[in-house]
Amino acid sequence: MDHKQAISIHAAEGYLLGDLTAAERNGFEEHFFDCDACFSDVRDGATVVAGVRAEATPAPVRGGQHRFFPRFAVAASIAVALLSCTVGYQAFELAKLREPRLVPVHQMPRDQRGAKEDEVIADGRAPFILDFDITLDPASAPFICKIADSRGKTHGDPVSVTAAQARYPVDLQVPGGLLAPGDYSLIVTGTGGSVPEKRFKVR
Amino acid sequence: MYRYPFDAEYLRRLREGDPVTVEHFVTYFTEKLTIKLWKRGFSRAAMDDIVQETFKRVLEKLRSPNGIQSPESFGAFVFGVCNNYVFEQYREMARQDQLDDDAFDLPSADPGIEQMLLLGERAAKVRRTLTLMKPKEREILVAIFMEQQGKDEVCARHGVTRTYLRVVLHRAIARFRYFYTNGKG
Repeated sequence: MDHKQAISIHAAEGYLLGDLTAAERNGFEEHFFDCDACFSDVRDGATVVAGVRAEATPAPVRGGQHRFFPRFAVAASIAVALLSCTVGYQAFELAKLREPRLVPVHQMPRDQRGAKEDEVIADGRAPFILDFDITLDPASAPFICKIADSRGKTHGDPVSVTAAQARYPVDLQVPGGLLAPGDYSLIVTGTGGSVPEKRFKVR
Repeated sequence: MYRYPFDAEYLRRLREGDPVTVEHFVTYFTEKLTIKLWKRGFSRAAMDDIVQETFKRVLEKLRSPNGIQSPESFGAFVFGVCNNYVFEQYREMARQDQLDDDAFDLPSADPGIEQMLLLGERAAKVRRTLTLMKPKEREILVAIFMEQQGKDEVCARHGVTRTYLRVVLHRAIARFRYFYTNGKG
């Protein structure tokens, strides 16, 4: 296979998809051993494939059910990770994320005013997701989302959400063990103000 | 097309064990051999064995009386040596009833290889790429590479052709490169 043919049939992509015939596969492999441009296509494509697998995290269907599906493929949902500050903990959390598991999603009330207090109760020993809408004016983005305890102390690193991301429900992933049992607030602040705190309990 | 300029001088230095040339040879071909073998579904241990044996056979040929006749095709020669050894392994696996052609379709899920591919900034750029993809195209890649659904089934469900799958992956690669090389995202 020559270079022109490899480009015309998207051979690198076909190779990674397993769509080439045996002859095409052998011909393309022989070609990319000599062609850095085509090998770069393969390597970068393999990186994207690895990224697809690495990013897939089980998440539950709304309403308490659980199923496995990639978090970024959830319709109109952006996941943001709330991680501890230490590199060591982050490395552990990233490694754990590669393992198939179920993560409960807790939907925060859209408007905390008048809502029943302590409606959301999460098990802090295991990872969980807080799902909420940002109803602030998009012009006041970026929005800073943070979790504070009843004394006002922030836990984990605040997360920044862009206006584009805030068009969809935000999924904030909280690592297991980060929050001790107690009362917490999810605080979302934009440049022009903040929404009422969304309270939740950790047991 | 960019072809590394292997020539007689390069092969002479390699044959004589010049450290810089040897390091280049090992680095240059280890990546290519690893991707090729990852695609074929070999375990890490088997990959390491094949890479080492390939290098050993290439250097033996280099130092033989006939040497390598076409320096400019050195890459294809290394590929051929690897392929021959891989086929020897296939024949051995077939004898042990371990060979499954279907296993050599999509790249195997190898955490070690995937970690290598996602080193440093690359992981963040891939994440950015996937976040900004059209939902339909992202779903297609997830269905094929993560959930390992049949490609015909995925095409039928999304109303696309098999050729379109290559276009989807091509777009993802282009977007990833844009973020990675421009330092954006």
